Formats: sequence, structure tokens, C-alpha cells
Amino acid sequence: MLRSWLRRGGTRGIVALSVAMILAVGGGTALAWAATHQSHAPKPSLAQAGTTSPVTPTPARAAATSFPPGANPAQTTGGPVVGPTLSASVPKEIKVPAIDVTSTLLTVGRNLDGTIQVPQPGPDYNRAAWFNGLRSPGELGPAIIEGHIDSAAEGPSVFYRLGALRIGDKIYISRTDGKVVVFAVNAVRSYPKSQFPNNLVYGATYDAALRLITCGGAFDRATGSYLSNTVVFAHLLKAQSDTDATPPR
Amino acid sequence: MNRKILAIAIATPFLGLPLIAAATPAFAQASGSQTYTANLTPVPLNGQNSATASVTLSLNGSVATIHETASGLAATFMGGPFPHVQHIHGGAMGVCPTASADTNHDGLLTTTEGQPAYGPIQTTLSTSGDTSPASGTDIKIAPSGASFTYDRTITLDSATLASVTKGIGVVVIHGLDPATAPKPATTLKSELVPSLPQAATAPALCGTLVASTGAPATGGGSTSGLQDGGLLALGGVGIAAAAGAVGYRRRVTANR
Repeated sequence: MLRSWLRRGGTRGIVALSVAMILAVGGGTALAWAATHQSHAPKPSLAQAGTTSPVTPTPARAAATSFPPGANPAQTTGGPVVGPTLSASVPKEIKVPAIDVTSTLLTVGRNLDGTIQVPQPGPDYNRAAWFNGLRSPGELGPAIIEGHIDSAAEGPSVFYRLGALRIGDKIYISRTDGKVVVFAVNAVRSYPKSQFPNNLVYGATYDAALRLITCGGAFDRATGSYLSNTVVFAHLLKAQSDTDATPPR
Repeated sequence: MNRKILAIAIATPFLGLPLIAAATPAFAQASGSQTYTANLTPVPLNGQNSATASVTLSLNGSVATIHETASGLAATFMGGPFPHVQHIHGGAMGVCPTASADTNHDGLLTTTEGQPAYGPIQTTLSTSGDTSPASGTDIKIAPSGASFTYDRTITLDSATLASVTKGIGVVVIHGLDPATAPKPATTLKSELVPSLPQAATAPALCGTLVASTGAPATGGGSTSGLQDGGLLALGGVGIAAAAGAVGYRRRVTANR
């Protein structure tokens, strides 16, 4: 039955059938591979929106977040500072175990128009960058660390999975003074670039705060830019010395 | 036409000059101008909840061009427009006080009680003349009325400059409407100008000057949208060609 069906087309028919099978299998494999290899960065969950300013110094809150034992805080003013703070020190490395990030830190400043610089294409593109226009991680006020979500052609970059962070996740930053400062995430949010909350992200805080920033949302091919930013808000939990600072992997 | 080309030819070398000048300094911060904005919100406890103001400060070296709009403030004082002394405070945390700053718990947040948060006066945003802290309570050169627009270009002293560039410069507008202010505003004397009631000098609005740093461009797009487009296209073409080959066989079969 099968043989007679195969023979009906003669040699040319068999050749055509063979070609069809090869093309179908090859094409199907290509489609399947491409379909299963689509990678998209995790988006911030609404459940992790949290609060961007967890530590305003209401009396009860201030008492609850007083300096933990052994933190040896260097309080910089007599003001209503909440939680531990340290003096300035340039950060060297960031570890975020929850999303498998380990990166030595670049230092970036401002562009001529005052906007924040970002790591440029080249060997440092996939490193996270500390913004030296504001505070060191651990100092009173906002410290900013940014990283690319992806490159133009080579797939995910250092902060690709930033949107997957959850409230309470830890961030470890080692500084040139030998201290490792440990932050806890208190909010993970997404903002359209057109409504980026400049003053909320970069404005003064009552505590030693950290913001991790990357891109997100839809990508505009015309401008070569993502249309949103993912911002992780975190606050300082404690500082430890380098020796007892191996974060869990 | 020829004249146009000539004009471009003459202009081109000069067009390059500002670019070269702008690109030369090693420290970008030193050259360009930086914009700072402050959105002023009501100081807790003091009852000026319908007041609002925004300040834009463009800093070029130490020269600050300030544009400010304010509304909803106390309108009149002893028959005249209510004077609102205003300052850039600094040298402290760079934040606005919360209700917990009312250390004597009298329900009024005085200028002094707010100082641990925003620091002392560093520059007086007067309408004319002196801008030093010495003119901090000179109501004759303060903007006045419920709403005002303030435009002035001044040179910042080193202390103010340090605060602003560090992100801890705080604009505070003083003067409370007695109708909505807590009672001590009218019954207590000002700690700054004892001849005046607290309402004249207590802080009404407060906001930190924050550099316009913007949304960082932290992505190239390779993981956005549909990826491996080439492979998808190849697969599609393969399947289509397979269908074509089957069709060809059908034709051959039918012809026999």
C-alpha cells in the first residue's frame, strides 16, 4: 500500500517527497529553536512595588530601625537620620545573589547636559556602574548603581534580571575602605522614561539608600531606546568588614 | 545658491568651535550647565495644605538662574500683601522635616525645628539686593502675596554651591496663613524675629533641589520583541518550500 503510494510519482515524485521532508524537518527545527530561545527580561511584579521610602523618621519607625548592634554607624548630622550610615568610600563590586549578579563597578559621572552617563559599548559595557554625582553606597542619601539590561546585538547584560528582584532580597557592595555594605530591597518599580521620577530616585533621603536602575518595557527601534526604566529601591541594613562578608551564593 | 554654499563654507569651521570647546574639559561637570528642580510641598503640621511651589535653578559655574512659581500661600498681613521670606537652606541632610521634627510637641513646626533636616539659611532668595543669610528675615525684599512668580539670577556663595551640587540644597518658603496655621503660630513669638508672630517666619513650603539627572539609557534592545528573526524566517521558508515540493509531487503524480 505504502509502496504503491510512493511509486505513484515515480523517481521525480520520490525525490520531491524526500526534499519536502528534509525542508519540513529543517524548517521546523529552526522555528522550534527560535521559538524556544526567545529571551525576555523579567518585568517588575506589582506585588513587589513596595514603598520607595520605607524609613521616614516617624518616632515609632525611628525607634524600630535604630542602629543594629555592631554596625558602628558614623552619624553625619544631628538630624532625623534613620538607620546606619557610613562615611564616603568608592564602591568596588556589587553582588546580588538573588539574580546571580556579580560585577566589578565602573564609575560614571554626568554628560555635558547634566544627565547620567551609562557604560559605553566596549569591554566595560556589561559591568554595573556607580554614579559619582551622588553618594557612596552606605552614606546618608541616595547611592545610584545602573547597568544595562541588554546590548544592541549580543543579548542580556548585567542587570537583565533586575525586574525579578523581590522585597527583602539582599544587595552586597564592597567598598575601597574594606567594608561590605548590605542593602535590602524595599521596592521594585517600572517607570515610563517620559515620567521618570527624577526627584524620587535622585533626591535626598532620611537613610542610607540605594537605587539600582536598568531599562525595561517596550523597545523603540526608531530611537534605539527602551521606553521604561526598572528601578530597585533599597536601604542599608548593615556594614560588615571584608573578612566576614561572603554573601551566600 | 552659490551664496548659500559660500555661507555654509564660511560658517562650517566656526560651527565646530563650540563643539571642540565643549568636548575639551576632562571633567564634564565643570563646563555645561546643570538644571535643578524642587517641588515644594507643605511643611507638616503648619496647615498650609493648599500651597504649592516649584523652583527651577539653572547653574552655570556659580551663577544660578532661578525661576519659581508659588501659589496658595497666605495672602495678606496687616492690610498689605503677606511677605514670604524664602531661602536655600543647606549643609545638613537635604530633606524636609517630618512631623516628628516638632521636638517641643506644640503642634507647630518652627524654622529652627526644621534645621536638622534642611540646615541653616545659606542664601536668601530676595527680590533685590543682598542674598546672604543676613537678609534672611528682611521682609522688605521678600516676595509677597498668595501667589507669585520669582525670576532672578544670582551668584551662589561656596557654601550654597556645595549644598546644591551635593543635592542637599533645600528651598523653604516661610510665612503661614493664620487662618489655617496651628494656634501657636499666632500666640507665640518668632524665634528669628521676636517682634513678629511665629506665623511670619515658620516654614510653609519645602522642597529639595535635585539635579535633572534623567532616565538612564541602559539597554540596546537585543532581548526586546521578537528575536532570532533570521532563523524564524529561514524556518518559515523551509516549511513553505516543503509544501511546494509536496505540491510538485502531486502534479507529477496526477500527470501519470
